Amino acid sequence: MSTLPPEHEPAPEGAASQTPENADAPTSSTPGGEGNTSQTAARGGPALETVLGWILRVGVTASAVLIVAGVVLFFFTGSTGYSGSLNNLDSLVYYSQSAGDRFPTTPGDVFSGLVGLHPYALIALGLLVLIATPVVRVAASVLLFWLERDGVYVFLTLLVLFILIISFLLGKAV
Amino acid sequence: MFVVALVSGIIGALLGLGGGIIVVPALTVLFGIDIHYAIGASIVSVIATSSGAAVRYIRDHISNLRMGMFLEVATTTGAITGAFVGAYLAGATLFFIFGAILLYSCVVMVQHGRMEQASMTGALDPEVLAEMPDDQKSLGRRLARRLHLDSQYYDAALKREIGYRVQGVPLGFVLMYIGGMVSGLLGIGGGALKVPAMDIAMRVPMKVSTTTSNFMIGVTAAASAGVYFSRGDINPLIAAPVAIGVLAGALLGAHLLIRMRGGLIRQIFVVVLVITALEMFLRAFGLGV
Repeated sequence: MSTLPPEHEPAPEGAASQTPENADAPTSSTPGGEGNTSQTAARGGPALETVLGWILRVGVTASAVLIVAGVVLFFFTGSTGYSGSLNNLDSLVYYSQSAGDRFPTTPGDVFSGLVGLHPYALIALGLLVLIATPVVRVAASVLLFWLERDGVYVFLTLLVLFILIISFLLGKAV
Repeated sequence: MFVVALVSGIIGALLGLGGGIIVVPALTVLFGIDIHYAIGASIVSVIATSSGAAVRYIRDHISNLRMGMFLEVATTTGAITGAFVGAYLAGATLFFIFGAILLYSCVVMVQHGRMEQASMTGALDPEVLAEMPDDQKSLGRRLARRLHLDSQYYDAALKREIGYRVQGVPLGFVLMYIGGMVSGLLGIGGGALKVPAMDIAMRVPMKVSTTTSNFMIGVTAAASAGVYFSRGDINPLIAAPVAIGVLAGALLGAHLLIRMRGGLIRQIFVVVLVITALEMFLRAFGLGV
């Protein structure tokens, strides 16, 4: 791998293709997990690892805030913003195939519901942000592997992303 | 419902299960919620567990990103298959399949726990490992080298670096496809199959199995979530408390995993699987609460 440090000792034949962090990370790392800075360096992307962590934090926080805001608004107004209210909770959890009129089921519904500040639209947006976070994470990984010049993984990650997009499209078609 | 979700998040993050195995039975058994909504909510909980815990695992480099991404190809393909087959299966059938898969996983996990104790090959000093001869011929090892799957992590419980070589790559890949299919079918992250697959077929340390499974389940679940969302199976009133509770639980669970020993995590894993498998069999035969 191109990220091998120059002072790295040649590995024995049997382990020639171990990942670099396998061979050069110190065994006497400081406790608590912070001793992994050598691994971060070996993977060539401390900045991108940080970007991945940042994407996760933003996605998780944003979705949590939106969902909580939606729930608060629901109990405050007593209405879902759709055909349901706080007074008939049973009808809200009753399952039916035609759920579309009781809560938003497409991103379009969600955004049109946001205009009217419907509580369910806020919750649904939070849920959509949550669902999108792993997808954004995979997309960012493409960049991570590309900067590491790891062509195999750029391909594999793009393939995963492609399958994810296909599945979204297939889901809509049902 | 929030408390159930919190517990589910902790256990899910710790065991790489996504918590679906707790959310689905809890919502159906305790709250009498329809299985379709329960599965929709658990898909959300799986993503929440994954993203919540990954904030920590990425920083500490326990999960194996390359292995996860490679296996993800199999798992996402399987998830699409499962989500579409699931719409045509009855509730009781789903419960039975769920239970059978969990019980099978338990048996193999216990067997492997004994093997690991007997041979002590599960965790090795990276420097010792680098000196050991590697199998040059087997397809699994050739793939593992080609794909740079071998890695190491710092174990805070053992206070040292743990290196490992990934075995059985083709078998692991096939098992991951099946795991993805189960995930799409049942709304669980498929971690119940992913962790044993990495543990037994691919011989990676327990902590790496659960954290890498944790990374993968989020991506896999995202593939199914689009399907469930547009089908109207994700009910905001049910999914909201689940999502929030699970996010909080996942942060706690990730914190716990870093300090726990792999053997203990394995034991908890098996116990949780046995309980859930029994619950699912009861439901399948109409004996559930």
